[in-house]
Amino acid sequence: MSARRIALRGIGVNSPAGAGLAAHEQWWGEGRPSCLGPTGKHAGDPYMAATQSGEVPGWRARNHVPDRKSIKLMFPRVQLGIGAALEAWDADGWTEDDAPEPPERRAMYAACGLTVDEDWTFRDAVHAGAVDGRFDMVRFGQEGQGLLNPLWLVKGLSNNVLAFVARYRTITGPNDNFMAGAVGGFHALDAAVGELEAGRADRALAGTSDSLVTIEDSLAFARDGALAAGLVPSQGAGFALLTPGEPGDFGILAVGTGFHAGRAEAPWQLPPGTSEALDALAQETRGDLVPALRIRGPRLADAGDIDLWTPLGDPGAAASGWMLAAAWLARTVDRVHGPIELAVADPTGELAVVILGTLP
Amino acid sequence: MTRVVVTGLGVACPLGTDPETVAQAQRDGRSGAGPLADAFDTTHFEVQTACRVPDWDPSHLGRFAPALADSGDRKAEFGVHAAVQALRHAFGDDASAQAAIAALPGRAALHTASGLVSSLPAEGEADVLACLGPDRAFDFAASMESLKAANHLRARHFTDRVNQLLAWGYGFSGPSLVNHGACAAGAVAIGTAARWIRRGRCDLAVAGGFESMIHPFGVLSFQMLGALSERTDCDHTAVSRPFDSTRDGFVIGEGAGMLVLESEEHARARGATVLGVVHGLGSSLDSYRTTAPPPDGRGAVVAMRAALAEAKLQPADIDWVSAHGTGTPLNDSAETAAVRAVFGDRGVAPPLISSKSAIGHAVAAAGAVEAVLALLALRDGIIPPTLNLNSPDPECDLDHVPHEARRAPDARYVLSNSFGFGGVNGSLVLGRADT
Repeated sequence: MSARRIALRGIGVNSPAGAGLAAHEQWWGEGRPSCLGPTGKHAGDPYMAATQSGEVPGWRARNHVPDRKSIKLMFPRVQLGIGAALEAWDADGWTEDDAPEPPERRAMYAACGLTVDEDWTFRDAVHAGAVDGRFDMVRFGQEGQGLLNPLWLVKGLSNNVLAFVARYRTITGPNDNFMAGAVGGFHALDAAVGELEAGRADRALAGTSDSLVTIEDSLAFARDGALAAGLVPSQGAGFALLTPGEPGDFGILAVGTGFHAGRAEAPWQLPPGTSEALDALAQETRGDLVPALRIRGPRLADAGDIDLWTPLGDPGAAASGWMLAAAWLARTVDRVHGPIELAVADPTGELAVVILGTLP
Repeated sequence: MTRVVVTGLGVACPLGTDPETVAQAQRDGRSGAGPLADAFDTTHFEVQTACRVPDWDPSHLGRFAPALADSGDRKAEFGVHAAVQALRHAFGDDASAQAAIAALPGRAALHTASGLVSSLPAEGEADVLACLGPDRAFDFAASMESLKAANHLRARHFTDRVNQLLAWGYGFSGPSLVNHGACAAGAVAIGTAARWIRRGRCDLAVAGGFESMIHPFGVLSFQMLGALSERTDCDHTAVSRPFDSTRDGFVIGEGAGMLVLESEEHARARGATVLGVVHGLGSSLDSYRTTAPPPDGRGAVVAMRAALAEAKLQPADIDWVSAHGTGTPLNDSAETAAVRAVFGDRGVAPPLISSKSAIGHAVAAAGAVEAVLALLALRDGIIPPTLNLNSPDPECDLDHVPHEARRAPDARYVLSNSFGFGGVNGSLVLGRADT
């Protein structure tokens, strides 16, 4: 149980169910129909191995990113993360002019997935730098390097969501950026709760974004057998706004993280014994609390009470962000008032459990 | 409040691959810079200098070597090397470390840091060249065969692999995380792991960072932004010039630094030797530009003040500052402004030194490697030098300890800065063992 009460004040979410919380409320009310479809913008690309994916429908970055000229520096996962983070931040009517807290007491913790597509970005440069089908350093120096986009490093920064949102909302306080696969968003939540509990921040964002709808991911999943096994790559983001709370608020009751050191047969599979390890962590984390609802992460044998992954696909690191949004919707749409247990595992072995509910 | 003590150190950096060798080189004021051409053909590159880990031989990684073989993943090799070294330093040998970690189910943690994983040329061959048929048409079947053959190369993109290997090798089952906070990542990982211990989330953690971008695409990514020194009119060891008026960019480095952190109670109970103390972390965001700090260094000011606050120290308590000190014109002047804002002008502010003058910029690992160097310097009673400071920039007018290490037997506290792209800042307050 947290030493100080931390409330969940708002949610921002993007997924194949739509852009923004309102679209998700409608989707939730309709019984959560499948949103998967044939791949969109990559459909005609011969490099794209996946034939089905979960993309955010009708996504227009310019509707969600305040600084349009920077959109060219943002991969889709960054755009989706910025959109969700700003939606969460503004959910309680926050404005810069009326903000009660100074910028250095605004915090943000974000998680991300792998930055991919680089080799495909390099296609022309690598090809120009080849001699007889092999990469040649001298030829590349002469012919290839000039074909590289000079801003590719900036575009690929893994902390871009953090950096842009900080700029858009003048967030200058505690922060961090993690990569922990599907578990990352809960690490972000844990860190944000820690800052608020310690009194180092008054308002914090926590969440994650990712997109597996990329050529490189698609080819990797094809190679690993994941597509043949039914994995549908997806994309999205989920962020939560946290502040100190009062008794009766909806908030964070407990967070637990751990590691299961098993070895999976394939990179996208969970190691044997993961479910048991996660159950043990959940038991330890919830203590005497009895969950009214259990939401489980993707790829687990135990699907929990709500299946997000069959209708929405697998969004990689964004999974934990969606789970926060699902808990919010269960609370606001389905009127679930008991504790909600969220538990997720990643193929790397990382585990996390979050218990949400009414603050005592 | 729980004190978080350091009981093990591990390092791979351009000055050496064990703490004592590195400490001696730091005391001697040696540089780890050399020709970038030792790494790959640089005939058509503007940049010609790098700080590489010397005489690197991954075969000594023992039981971890097979898992890392053939992936070309120097950064993971450095990370595993430094972590294993730190654990052996803390516990004497692998078996003792493994037994100690097994006795802490769910309470032995890993918090590492790494950075951008740019492709190797071999990946370009496998992912692009081998997938193209006549007329550069994409051949899907060929791509599948090529990608299978190159599977081992892709493994290096999963930066949590170091945590995985350590978990498999030693039985860690507590929190595990990889920080991706750009060039502040290593420092923030150490400070965050210390907070995990203070919050009671774990009793022990291996924390630090690992990185290598010394390969063609990695170097190019910084070169094209104009961040690297392109100087060729001097010896390689004289290229990195933080706070000098002739500075023109940083020298790319590589390496890893790892600390074993424990609650003081846990360390004392097992009779461990305390090597230092992690007193505080401050993190902040510039909310400014992606690749440049605000000229007044205001984000850095917030981070340094937050670190001092968590450490419950005043600016006057800090004996010297280990600067981010990259040697880029913008960073060094902004950092100087920030240090003045927190500590006062020259004569009042403590000495501000840049280890990057000797080891280059290890990107995401920088803060972790520099934390190891700072703890060794505190132990040795010295303030490390800033090399190549021949014509100090008047805009950076502070006491930079040029050329030679300075005796400082009474120094107790160091503040170590790490700032990164995206406007992220991390400051650590580290203390001598008796603080």
